[in-house]
Amino acid sequence: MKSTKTALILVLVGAVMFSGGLWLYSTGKSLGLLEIGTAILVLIVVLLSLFVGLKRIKDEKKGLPVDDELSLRIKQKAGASAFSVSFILWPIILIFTMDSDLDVRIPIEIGILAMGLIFIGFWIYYSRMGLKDENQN
Amino acid sequence: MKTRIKELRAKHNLTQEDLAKKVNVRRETIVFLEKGKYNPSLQLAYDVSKVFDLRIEEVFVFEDSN
Repeated sequence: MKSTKTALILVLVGAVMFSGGLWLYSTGKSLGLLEIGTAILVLIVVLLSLFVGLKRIKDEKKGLPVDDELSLRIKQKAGASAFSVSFILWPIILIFTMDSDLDVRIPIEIGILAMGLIFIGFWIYYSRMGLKDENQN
Repeated sequence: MKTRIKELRAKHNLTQEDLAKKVNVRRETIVFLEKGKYNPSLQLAYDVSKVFDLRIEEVFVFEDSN
């Protein structure tokens, strides 16, 4: 089951990279700052997922569990923190894009990518700092 | 919370990876436990103490926050 999950992560990473490359090729036009920025952010997410997937394979080969109580708690806390931040993020995006001529897809794209990056940021932070004070009032 | 895990590992000649395999957690969890960066669940605290054949309070030293 866990090998399946790892394989799935790697397949998804491959699929995202392939479709991203296909999209870039098919646009047939010169890329603006927004498109390049989006592509870079997607690449960061993809590379991080690849790193996580390969680490999981390495741990599985060593006979170590891929997930345990700490890693699951870190993911939960990162998700909860990212969700809390999104309450501030989306109003800010809306304030800055409400009266502009931007296509509605662009703020949505930015918001979703930002939420992903914020989650990754929190995940990295808690993975380094630990969850020492979690049970304290 | 402080722990004696590092000292006990050395006494029993166990690496972090060995201990992690025995209690079925990732090596990073053992690292965080040793550094006091994570308060384990009761189950994990019990499992770790069992590896060293000690009681929980002999492995994990809880500081009185009051």
